[in-house]
Amino acid sequence: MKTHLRITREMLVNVRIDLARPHAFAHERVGFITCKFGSIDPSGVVILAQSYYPVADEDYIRDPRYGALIGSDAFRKAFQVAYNNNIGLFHIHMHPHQGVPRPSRIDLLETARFVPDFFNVRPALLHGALVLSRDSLSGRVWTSAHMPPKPITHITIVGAPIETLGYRR
Amino acid sequence: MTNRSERQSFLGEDSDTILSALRVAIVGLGGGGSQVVQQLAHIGIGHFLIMDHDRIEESNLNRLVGGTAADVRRSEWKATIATRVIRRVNPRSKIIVERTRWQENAELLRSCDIIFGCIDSFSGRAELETVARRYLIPYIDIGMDVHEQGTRFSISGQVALSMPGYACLKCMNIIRPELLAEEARKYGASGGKPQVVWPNGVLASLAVGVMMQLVTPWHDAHKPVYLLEYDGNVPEVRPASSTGFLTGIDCPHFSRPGDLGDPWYGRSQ
Amino acid sequence: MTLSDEALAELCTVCPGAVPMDEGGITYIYLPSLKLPTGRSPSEVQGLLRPQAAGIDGYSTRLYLSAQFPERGKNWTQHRILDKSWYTFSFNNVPATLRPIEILANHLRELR
Repeated sequence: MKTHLRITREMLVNVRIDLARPHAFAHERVGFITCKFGSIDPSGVVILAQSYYPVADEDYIRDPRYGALIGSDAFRKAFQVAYNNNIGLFHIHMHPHQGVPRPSRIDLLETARFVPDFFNVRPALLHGALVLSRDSLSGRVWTSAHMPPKPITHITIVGAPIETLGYRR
Repeated sequence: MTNRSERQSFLGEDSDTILSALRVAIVGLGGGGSQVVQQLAHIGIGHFLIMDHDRIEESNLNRLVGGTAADVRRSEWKATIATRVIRRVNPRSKIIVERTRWQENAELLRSCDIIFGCIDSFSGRAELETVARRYLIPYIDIGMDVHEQGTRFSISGQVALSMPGYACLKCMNIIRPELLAEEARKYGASGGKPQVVWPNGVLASLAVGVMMQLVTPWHDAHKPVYLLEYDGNVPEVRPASSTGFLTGIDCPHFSRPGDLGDPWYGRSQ
Repeated sequence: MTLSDEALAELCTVCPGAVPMDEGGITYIYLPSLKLPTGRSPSEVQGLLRPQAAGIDGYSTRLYLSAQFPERGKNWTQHRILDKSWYTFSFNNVPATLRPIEILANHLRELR
C-alpha cells in the first residue's frame, strides 16, 4: 500500500525545537503528531499531519536504560486526544545525526509494543511512528493492530521550499 | 541531466528528477490553464492531472493555446487539446485526463503536489482551494479581469499562492461574500467576460514561476510572494501592498479540525 | 452554528443517521438517506442541509443532494463540499429561523 505523509515545514520546525529542549533527566524528548487521512488510488493513503502534542516534562520516567521513557499518563493523554477527535496517532522522536533516520532496535521493540494499543481507541484509522534526524524524516505506519508496520513510502514537507523525501515515479 | 534541460541546469542538479516526479493538477484548461499546461510541459513536469469538462468554441480561439480551427470544427475537448500540447513537447509525461466537472472526481487531486486553479467562477475557486487545504497541497490561483470604465477599459489580474497555514483567498480578499452572492444570482455562470491572450500569458508565466520557486528554488534568499497583482494598463506586476500582512497572517478560515483530510475516512456511511 | 439535540433528533425521525458536519466554519447536516417526493428517480439520495446563511452564496439556507433532478427545481449547480460532489437548485428565502426539519421540508417541496 502506498502511504504518503504530508507535513508542513512550520510544524516540523516547531517539533524540532521542542524535541531539542533539554529535559531534567531524559536524554531525549518524544511527542505525538495527530493525523488525518484520505484514500488515494489505487490503494494508497495520504497521511496529513495535523497537530503536535509534546509529552509533558512530568510524564517522563527516569530509567538510564532508555534515552526517553514515558509513562502511562503520557499515553493516557494521547489516547484522550484520539478519543475526542477522529485522528490517528503517530509517535515522534529525534535522532541526533544527519541523513535518513532509521529506527533503533529499541525504537522497533517499543513501538511494536505501544502503537497497536492506539487501535483500541481509533480502530478504523492508521497509526504509526516517525523519526526525525537533523535534516530528514522517516516513518512507519500500522494499518492494524495485528500486522507489522510498513515504511511510509513517500514524505512531502510542505512549505517554501517544498521538499520531497524519496522521489517517486 | 538530459540535453533538453541543460539550459535550466541552474535550477539544481536534482531539478530534472524533482520535476519529472512532480504531480501537478491544472483545473480549467481555457485561456489561463492552456498556457500553464504548455509551460509545465516544456519545463519537464512528469505527471499531469488535467481537468476540464468543456469543449472548445470559436470564441476561445483568441486565447486557448494549442487550440486550432480544426478543433473548433470538431468541437474538441479542451482536455484533449491540452493532452496534445503536452505530448508534443514531452511524450513521456504521464497524463490523467478528466473531461468531467472537477467536483465530480476531486479525489484525484489528493495525490498532487501542486494544484493550479484556472477557472472563472469564484465559488469554484473557493471550493477548489478548500480541497487543496484539506490535503495540504499548495494552491496557485489565477484570475484575470477586464473592467469597463465608461468608454475605457482596464485589464487587471492576480496570481495568488494559497499555502497551508498561510493566507487564503479569503484572507487576500479575492473571494468575498458579495462576489459569491452575485455569482450565485447568475446561477454560477461566469463565462462571457472579456478575456485576451496576453494578460493570460503574463499571469500563467507568473504562476508557473511561483511554483518553480517552491519546488526548485534558484536563490537561497527567496521568500514566497503570496499575492502578485497585475495592472495590464501600465503594464506592471507587483507584490500586493498587503504582502507584509499576508506573510504574517495565521489564516482563520481553514483552522478547524474538520477542515483537514477526508471527513468520511474511517466512518461507516 | 450550534444544532440543538432536539432539532437533530427531530431531523432523525425523517432521516435516520442525520449528523452535523463542519467545513470552513459552516455547519451542514448530513442526511444519509433522504427520501424524495414520490415520482423522483432515484427515490432516495444523500443530502446536505445548510440551515444558515453562511455568506457564500446569498442564500439564507440551502439543500444539496447527491443527484440532480433537472425536471424539478431550477438552475442546478454542482459543488464540492466536505470533499464530496453535491448538486443544488435555486430556491432562496427559506429562513434560517425555522427549525431544521421545517427548512428541509420547505426545500423538498420545491422538488415535487
